[in-house]
Amino acid sequence: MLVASTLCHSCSSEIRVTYNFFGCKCPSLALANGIVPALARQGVEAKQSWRSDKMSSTQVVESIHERFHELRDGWKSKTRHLSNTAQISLVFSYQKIIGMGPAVVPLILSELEKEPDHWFWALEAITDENSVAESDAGDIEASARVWVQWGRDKGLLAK
Amino acid sequence: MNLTDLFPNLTGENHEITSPRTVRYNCIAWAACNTERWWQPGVFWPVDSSRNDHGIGNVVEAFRSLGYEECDDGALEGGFEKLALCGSAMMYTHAARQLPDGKWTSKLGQLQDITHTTTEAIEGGDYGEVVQYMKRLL
Repeated sequence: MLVASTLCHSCSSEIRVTYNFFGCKCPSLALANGIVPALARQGVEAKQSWRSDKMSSTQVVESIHERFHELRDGWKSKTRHLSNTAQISLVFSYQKIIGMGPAVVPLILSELEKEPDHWFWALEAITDENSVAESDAGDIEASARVWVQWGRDKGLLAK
Repeated sequence: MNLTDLFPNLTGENHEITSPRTVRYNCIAWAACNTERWWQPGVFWPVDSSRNDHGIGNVVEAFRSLGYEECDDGALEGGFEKLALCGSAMMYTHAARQLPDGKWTSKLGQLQDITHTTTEAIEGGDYGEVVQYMKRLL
């Protein structure tokens, strides 16, 4: 992963850009693609941060799974005793899950298949959808079934 | 993890577990004697409410709509049923309902119902402290 600082051309605010390279950790890849030389021409400072292992596409998927499960476990351990849904959803690990974006939606839906839980806030935030009918509002088990079916209809879960 | 790990004032002597774990209902529902829904503002709530209003005032309004009014303390008072509402950082966190013998009953999120001898038993940690008592005629 290459992290670089540059400036927005519209407002001149400093922004940080992250480039992820999969399959090889050699700096020469960046050089061959011209990214580091391009940034160097702009006079920005580039900081290199490489993973210690190779990252094939399979390993990227596994990495997302691992990250999700780690965050999930942390979230559940901190929130089982809570009743306020906002308090449950504002826990940092849950917010990080939301930050993982659409890639985690199938993982969340798999969780709902196994055990109804307060994943609805995350699902709605990521997908901008909510098919739960008013008649099922507050019914955690029914809401979970609705979302699981939504996932199957979208091809995100096996039917 | 034991319940006593989650609540700093809970001990083996001041509480008793009275139900299995379930995500079906939460403490607000249980305080209102409902075991079928997870009560959440703007989703399933006894008064019209924004989904973003998780403040203590909103839960007070919710229980006012169920016949409760604010009162000064949680002392057992003949002919009345009392609630203890907890809050932390301006959010409501918990509601406990008083039993006829003066003890209290609470649903701990997705965990079990418990009976506890005092409201202090569930104060502290993520639950904050009791910020409002309410009562209604039985």
